[in-house]
Amino acid sequence: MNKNSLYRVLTIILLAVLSLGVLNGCGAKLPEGFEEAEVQAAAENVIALLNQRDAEGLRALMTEEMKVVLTDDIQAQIFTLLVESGAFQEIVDLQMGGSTQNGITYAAVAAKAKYENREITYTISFDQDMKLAGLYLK
Amino acid sequence: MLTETPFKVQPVKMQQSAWRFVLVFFLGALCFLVTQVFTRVPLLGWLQGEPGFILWAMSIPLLSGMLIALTAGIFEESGRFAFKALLIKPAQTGIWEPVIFGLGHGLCEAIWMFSMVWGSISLLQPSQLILPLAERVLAITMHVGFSVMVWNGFQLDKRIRCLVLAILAHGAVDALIPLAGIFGWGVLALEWILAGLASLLLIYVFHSRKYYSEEVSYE
Repeated sequence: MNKNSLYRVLTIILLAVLSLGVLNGCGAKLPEGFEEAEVQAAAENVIALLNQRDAEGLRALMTEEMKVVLTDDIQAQIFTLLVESGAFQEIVDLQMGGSTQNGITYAAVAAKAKYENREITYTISFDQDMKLAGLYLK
Repeated sequence: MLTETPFKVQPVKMQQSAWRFVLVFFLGALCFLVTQVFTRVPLLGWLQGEPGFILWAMSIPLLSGMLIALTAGIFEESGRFAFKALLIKPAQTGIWEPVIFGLGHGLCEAIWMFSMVWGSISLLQPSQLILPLAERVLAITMHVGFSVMVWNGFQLDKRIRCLVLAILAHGAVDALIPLAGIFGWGVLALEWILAGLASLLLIYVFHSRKYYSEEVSYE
């Protein structure tokens, strides 16, 4: 293998790594009709309710579809994960964007929260009525 | 610019001892571990915890899914290329070499994937295992095809062209997964498309035999 070919391959690998890094930096904007402060406060409220293990408070925020999907059993699994994560410390990164599914536009918030034993990244979606339409934890 | 050069099949006597088969097989497995388990998978895992990446992927799900699929092609095919160029000599070889390498790569991926879901897969009925097993057989067939594609570059001295072709082909196959999700294709429909593509790659492998050394004896 000559040097030129080796350099080309290394360049491709480097571009792959860099492209993943660049993709990471390309955040989206909130869709029209959503207020940044309102969406941020709503997302922080959802995280606070989760930290307080307040199932009823959380249920009151949900869309009808979410009430069907996020069953008591799944909520119990989330609460167990949060207990294992230890005490909540702070939200270290919070960004807002949007997504469209089946013609419906949602506001999306991705927030990285620091806990005593691990970091959890929440992905929270709200519909136009600011009802909780999606919740994902990693 | 790459130019067309007529390829001459050089009959060579090849010493294909068992250890070389085993070595190439394990290098194929190692290639999967290096390019996916130890690099791409942790990198994607980290990105999936980054708010900026999550929102970007949510805002353009089809494009982001296809780009992530392309990274599988970039990592795995570049890995195959690097393993062949740096560790598996000589450049010119028999068709068995990419086939064994692809089998090692594909089987390692199958074992790794089944080990990840072993807890839930052991709860399935034998009849429910048919689809995941068929999917893995198709994936292994494709890994053999992609390996032959990369090796063809060494046989024909068109290394970069074949590497780029393998990256795009691999990326296109993996892009079917986000496409299926967005367009609502069922699992069976996706399996049939994959079966069609695996068949095309198998034809490509048979077609490529003419580029490789004939194993002849001078005795």
